[in-house]
Amino acid sequence: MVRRYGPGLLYLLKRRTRDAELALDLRQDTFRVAIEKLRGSVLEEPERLVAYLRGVALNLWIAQRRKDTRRATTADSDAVELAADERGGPFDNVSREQVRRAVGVLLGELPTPRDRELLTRFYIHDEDKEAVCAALGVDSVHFNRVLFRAKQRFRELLLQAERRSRIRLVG
Amino acid sequence: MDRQHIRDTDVIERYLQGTLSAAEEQAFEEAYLADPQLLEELEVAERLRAGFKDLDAAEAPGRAAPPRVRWLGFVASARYGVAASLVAVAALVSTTVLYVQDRGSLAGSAVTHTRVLPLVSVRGAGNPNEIASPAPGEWTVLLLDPGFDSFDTYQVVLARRDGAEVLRLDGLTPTYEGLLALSVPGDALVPGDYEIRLAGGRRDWPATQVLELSRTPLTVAARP
Repeated sequence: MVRRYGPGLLYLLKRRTRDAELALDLRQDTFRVAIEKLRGSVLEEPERLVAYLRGVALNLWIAQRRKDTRRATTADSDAVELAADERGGPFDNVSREQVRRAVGVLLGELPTPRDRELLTRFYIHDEDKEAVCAALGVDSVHFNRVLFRAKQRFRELLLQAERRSRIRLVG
Repeated sequence: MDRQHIRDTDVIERYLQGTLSAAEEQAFEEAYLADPQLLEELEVAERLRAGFKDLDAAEAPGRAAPPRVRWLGFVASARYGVAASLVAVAALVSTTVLYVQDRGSLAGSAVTHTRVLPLVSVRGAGNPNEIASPAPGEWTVLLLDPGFDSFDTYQVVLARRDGAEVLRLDGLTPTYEGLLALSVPGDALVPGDYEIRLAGGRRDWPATQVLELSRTPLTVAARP
């Protein structure tokens, strides 16, 4: 259960908490609560295990927020960002600089200025899909295709960066 | 919520933008909790979005720069590219011919090798940077990742674990693949434990002011 649902739960909790350390703690508590519950009684609908885990995780997070509000603590957002970059995902070892470089490579490889414009409007200017399609005179099929290919290529570049970060020296 | 629906209705992008309804959000979160492939897709999309924003922020100061001067336009043109390629090919051919002609005279002289070694900095994972001691005439180029923040110049100090400095280089800037290259002569890397201290500086800081960025261990083992 931990191996199967651990990465997804960590992602979910990091997204909600914006705090990698807290997310790790909450994930641990989630599994503790779930395992205790499953030891004590049978889950009536086993297919709802995912929903149950999500529910426990979010309840723990809400309880934590209440506690934090009472203590009125403030988070060090820079430290949080740094920590969030360091743990949890499949591209852990890929730095922000490498991600930025990969996006640069991706943009450079796009076949037409229109596709570059499409991604720039969507990702940087946060324009919605319909607005981008209308402005550039493309249909949603073309939009989806450009986005899909961009993500595929970007994934390859991330994997390359990840491999480079993991190179081990042999004398 | 199945994959097709997620793709057809741009669920990943809308999730990252925070525009899903509560019900959609719940369904999508339950879907990726149970599906590692979908989770990876989500992480790629999130990184891509963040990378675009970062790139945009990094390029923002350059947008106010004056237009490119005329000669730069010529240098960037296809005509110049073709001409430069021809010159490069001619140079390659002539140097190859000279090399072949001189090969005989090189046979008796000492040959210098250079090793290029990327260093890894992994927190809490022991020391992954272990190399065999180079020969006295061999050069070792250590490649060091400058990290997340970018500085105008970098200072690198290679020191033995007992604190004795072996090499100090100031004013370095990233070169190949954004890495810092540190060339070390073979006789400087005798077997032992070393530490590579990296510090960054900015143009508007006093010359002596640097910010320490990382310490990377390096072990040089005796040659087999």
